[in-house]
Amino acid sequence: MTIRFSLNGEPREADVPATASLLDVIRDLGLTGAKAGCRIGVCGVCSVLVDDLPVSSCLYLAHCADGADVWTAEGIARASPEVVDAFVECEGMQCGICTPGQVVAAFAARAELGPAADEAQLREYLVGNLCRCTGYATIVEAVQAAMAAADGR
Amino acid sequence: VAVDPETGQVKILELVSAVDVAEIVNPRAHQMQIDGGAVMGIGFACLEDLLEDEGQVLAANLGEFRLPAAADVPALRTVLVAGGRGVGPANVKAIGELTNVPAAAAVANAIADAAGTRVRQLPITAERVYLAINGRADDHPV
Repeated sequence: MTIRFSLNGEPREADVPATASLLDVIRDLGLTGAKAGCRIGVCGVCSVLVDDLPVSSCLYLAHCADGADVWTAEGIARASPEVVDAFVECEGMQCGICTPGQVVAAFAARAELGPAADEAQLREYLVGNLCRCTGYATIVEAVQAAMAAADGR
Repeated sequence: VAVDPETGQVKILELVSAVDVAEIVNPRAHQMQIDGGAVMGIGFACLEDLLEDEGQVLAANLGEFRLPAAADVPALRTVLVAGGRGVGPANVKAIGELTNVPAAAAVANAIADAAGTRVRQLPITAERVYLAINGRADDHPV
């Protein structure tokens, strides 16, 4: 089936099987920021925004995104560079594999929780994005810094 | 830690790491190794249960083998014991995941102190603490 959707602000069209995940479609279109980690919606490496809400794209059927506005970490990095800058400045990463998902979560947290969110709320918001390296301290710092930065998108 | 005597639920309130250090090259990356290792140790202590059956690992994915998430992390405090002699060039010492080694033992000791009884198997789940408090053996040891 053919689906049409907006990917990082640009209209895209893809011919996909009914069972294809949004993750596979996005990666086939050449955007490899979102990754296949656990493929059961637990680790958060495949996080993308669908109509402003963060979803695990490994579980999200591509045909459900027909007509949707989809943003990946690459698009957020271009449209709201201050989010990625916050991760660089706070060193909110170590090995880096969870980082695209954390960037998407940071952007979504800013929209959903607002700048007044406290650290406990942020940590609760981030439970869907696992990190094995950092112990989360610098990631939470980065998300706080990203939330403090002005809205760019 | 705080232990709920009724359910055996454990909450780690604070984890203090004391590290013998020499010359620190990158303080931020150094601290991340300390924090990351400690958090991995918390998972080892309380969450990560690698069940197996005749060598076949039963936890097939990250939903069944739960890692610590951001909200599972307690307050982390670090005490750097400076002045150590480095064994590497420029007086440096290894730090990689060092705090992962003693964290589970420290958590186990804290739980034994709080609960008044000792759990001798990792991970220290609420069920195991409950059984230990009530003087019952784990009927289904791994």
